[in-house]
Amino acid sequence: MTALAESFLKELEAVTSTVDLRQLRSRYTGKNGVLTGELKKLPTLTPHERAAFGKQINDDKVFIEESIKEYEKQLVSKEIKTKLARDPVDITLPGCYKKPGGRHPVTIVLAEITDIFVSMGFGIEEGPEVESDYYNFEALNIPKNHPARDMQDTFYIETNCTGASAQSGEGAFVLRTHTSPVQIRVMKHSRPPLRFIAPGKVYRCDSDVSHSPMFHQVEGLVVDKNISFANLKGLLEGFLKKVFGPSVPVRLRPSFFPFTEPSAEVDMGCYFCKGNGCRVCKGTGWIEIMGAGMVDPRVFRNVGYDSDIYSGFAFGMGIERIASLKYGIDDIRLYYEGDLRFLRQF
Amino acid sequence: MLISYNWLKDYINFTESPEAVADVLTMAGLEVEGLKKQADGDVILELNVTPNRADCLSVIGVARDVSTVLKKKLILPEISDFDNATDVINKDVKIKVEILDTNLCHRYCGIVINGVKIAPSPDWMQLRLQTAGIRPINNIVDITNYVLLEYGQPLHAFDKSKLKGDVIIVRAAEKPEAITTLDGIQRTVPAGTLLICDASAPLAIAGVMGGAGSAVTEATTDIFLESAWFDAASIRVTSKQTALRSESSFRFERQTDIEGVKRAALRAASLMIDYCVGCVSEVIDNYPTRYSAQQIVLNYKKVQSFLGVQISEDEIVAILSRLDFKVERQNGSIVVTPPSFRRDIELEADLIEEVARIYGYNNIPAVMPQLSLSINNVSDKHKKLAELRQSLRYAGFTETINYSFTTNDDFTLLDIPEGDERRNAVTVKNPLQKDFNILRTSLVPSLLRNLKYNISLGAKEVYIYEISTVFFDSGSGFPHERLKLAALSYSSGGKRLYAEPAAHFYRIKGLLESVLSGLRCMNYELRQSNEGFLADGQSADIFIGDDKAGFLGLITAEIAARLDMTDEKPDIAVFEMEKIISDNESVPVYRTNLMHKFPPIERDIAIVVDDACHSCDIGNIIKNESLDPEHLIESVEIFDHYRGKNIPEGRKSLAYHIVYRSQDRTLLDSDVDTLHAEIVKSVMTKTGGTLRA
Repeated sequence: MTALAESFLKELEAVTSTVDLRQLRSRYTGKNGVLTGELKKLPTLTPHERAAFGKQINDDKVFIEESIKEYEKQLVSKEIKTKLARDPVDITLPGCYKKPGGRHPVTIVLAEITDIFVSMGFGIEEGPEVESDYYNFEALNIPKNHPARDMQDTFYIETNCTGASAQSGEGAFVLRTHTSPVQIRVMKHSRPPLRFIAPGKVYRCDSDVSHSPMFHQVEGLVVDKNISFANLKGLLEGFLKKVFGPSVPVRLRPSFFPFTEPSAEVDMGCYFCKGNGCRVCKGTGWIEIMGAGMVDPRVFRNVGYDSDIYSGFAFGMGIERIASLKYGIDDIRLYYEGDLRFLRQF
Repeated sequence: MLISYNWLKDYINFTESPEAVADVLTMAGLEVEGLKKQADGDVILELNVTPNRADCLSVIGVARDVSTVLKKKLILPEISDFDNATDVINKDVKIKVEILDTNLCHRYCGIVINGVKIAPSPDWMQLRLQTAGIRPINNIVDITNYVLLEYGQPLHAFDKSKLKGDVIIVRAAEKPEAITTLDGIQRTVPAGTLLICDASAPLAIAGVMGGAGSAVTEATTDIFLESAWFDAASIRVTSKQTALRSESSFRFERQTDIEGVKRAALRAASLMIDYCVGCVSEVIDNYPTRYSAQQIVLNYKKVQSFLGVQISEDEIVAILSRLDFKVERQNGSIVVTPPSFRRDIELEADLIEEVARIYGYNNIPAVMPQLSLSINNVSDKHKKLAELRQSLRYAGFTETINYSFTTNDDFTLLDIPEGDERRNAVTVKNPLQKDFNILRTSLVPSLLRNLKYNISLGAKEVYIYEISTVFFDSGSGFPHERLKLAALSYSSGGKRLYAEPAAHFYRIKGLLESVLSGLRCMNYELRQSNEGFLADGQSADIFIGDDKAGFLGLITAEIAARLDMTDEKPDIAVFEMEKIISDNESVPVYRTNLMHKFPPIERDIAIVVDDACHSCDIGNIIKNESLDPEHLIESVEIFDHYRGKNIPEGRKSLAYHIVYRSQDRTLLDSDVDTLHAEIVKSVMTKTGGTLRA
């Protein structure tokens, strides 16, 4: 090792920062550095000496550059570590991100129900929220001046046109009281086989802890050859077990809807007391969850289907009711108050 | 309908407990909503009788269903027809019943009972009436109500001495007519109302309420007892028009048993003789519009396939027979005649329901349907809406759902000018409350109310949105329904842990951009907005093509003050947009841009321009194709926007990052230098800007 290399090494050992290292490098390898100084001695040497001296200087240069490069790596990683150690994060401070907003429970439940039916090959249909008397009532076998109209408190729409025939859909308009008119709309423009659900807002002239003037329903319809009441039971039991768990008991009991015959109320075992009887199920152990039935032949007649060939079933459920059971919500008004403390829980 | 458990025992011998009977009824379609124990040990069943089961608005009707399910005999009361004249006197007194409107009144029975003594009815009868929710009055009135509960046939007792001309005329009012009803109120009924009249005036509004003038009083000695069949729809219309609902009208509306009209009158007369001392002097039965029973063919194979259960022909016949249906067997089918009290049974399907409900829904198996596969109608709309909600959620926004109802105050709140489309709202005829009388045309007022409510609850930051249908009056026919999306962003400017990235306008604009890019909707344009409720210079209208699709911006301080906001300078940004989802369901053709592997050259340009200069205009100048015939510019992005120190008043500095890349070679600096210089020059000339030092 040359004296030059030795003195370099001595200086290198003393260097502790990348800044000092850069200075050391320029002192040795810079334009006016030690190595350049050494090279200036060349003209004073004999040609014979020159070759050996030149090679020696070159070796020194390579040695110095390599050493600096190597040392620099060590220094940099050491400096990063020191710097990080001097600038620690509080790992318990919250991360920086946008807090996701809340989903509306009605949307969640609606999506869940939709997914289940779509997985069974059901389509999704829609209809207007302001309906004609014909679609909302007449076509569904709810004639004018019939007590069945009392089953749903109806909002009527102010309209300029009077005397027009309700049959043409231009008569009295109502805020639809159920999603069932979508059945008529779809059957009127398509032929069996049919299977679809129709979700949407519905309106009833009623307001208290368990009734809202606006709420959401999902209607379902299946029409094909050889559809039986047993099929209705099978499908709805399967659906409710998917939503509320495989052990939930389900029962159908006779009821009355003008557009189904036979009609059924669908009850499930009370979610809260497991059938022992509580406030929610009024001590009966059962909770009414859906209405359903075989499509009434009068409805098929209204849409031009032959009830000797086709049969079908329809069902309808309230989304808020299902959401309330799932999430333990006892006041339906909470869904529409827009209270973020409520909505952000979902 | 309130039904006494003990009263049911008058007609069936059974030992089942009240709970067991309640279960039997519920599972047969007469839902028992509650059981109430009485002091005397009786139990009241609270029945929810559906509108089709008029026959079950009576104790005997309910007993019939119980007897059918329990397979027990139904025992009906013995009734005299008064043909044996021992208790009949004064046969010569004749009252004439004239039915002028035989469409609205198919049958009218009258019984004259003389010499009654008005007194309280026996205790047991009073108790039965009270437990059914009917107030006892006197023995005559109580007996009419008792028989109404027992058979479901409404009866009315007139004080015969008040009848003028010994004649009862059943007619529809030709013009509005006045009558003072039993409740002492003088009413005018419209033309068409069915009335019961004597020779001079109306005595009663048929089927709805009797008149005060002919009511039974303490002094009454002779009774004219009415039992009739009136048209259901007519009674319903009258009941609605007069806003009078009675136990009678409720039953007539649902159709009473025309064949039971006389039987109920005779039953009441028997009770009156037993408990009011009188004698029957005359029984009149005017039955001009005869009931003809309908025959329905029931194919029992159809029952099996429709219900999906192997129920035998014998069982079908047995069930229908126990329900008092006449059944005749034929080959493979049966011919069924429903009883006159089951007018709801018209079709085969109705019979199948009868069979099913008595057989028991629980005894029918649950079998998944077997359906053939088909391409169903799940439109992109639902997927896109789900995606949209997801992206709004991760942008920090919470979904609200508000009522579709509102009031004209919405327009005042936002200073919506007269003639604006949004004032063209649909009106609700019978709103639940005054502030619910129209349907929304905009979602923004609802979100502002949500904001106000949440601030009142202490919220410092409110990020909310709603996706709902709004309604526009179309003049005639169906209103126009449109789906709108609106979002609101508010923060009270309190301290926060990490710095907020941008001013409020840019945050709401950013939300809109992320929503629209998520929906792959890129062909929109923002223009200066003239919405009065949005702050000048902090608002824009959203255009898709030439159609305004919405707006965004900051709510003016004036509007905010109307919301009682206490902030000095409330920072409320909103946007509202329609046409968020295109109706076009056609399958789009995608062409993917190929990625090029040659390295890019990147250059920046910082320019100081007038405040009025729009950043996107400069972007467009840079992208001007005439300067870049080779299409070397791959992207242009603004990365700095600065006003303040070192920049003259009224001007701002904008800086852009340009990426140049060739599709077929590695670019050299020399390739880009000239182009970049030209671009810089062009930007300066066209904007009057200078390069930032």
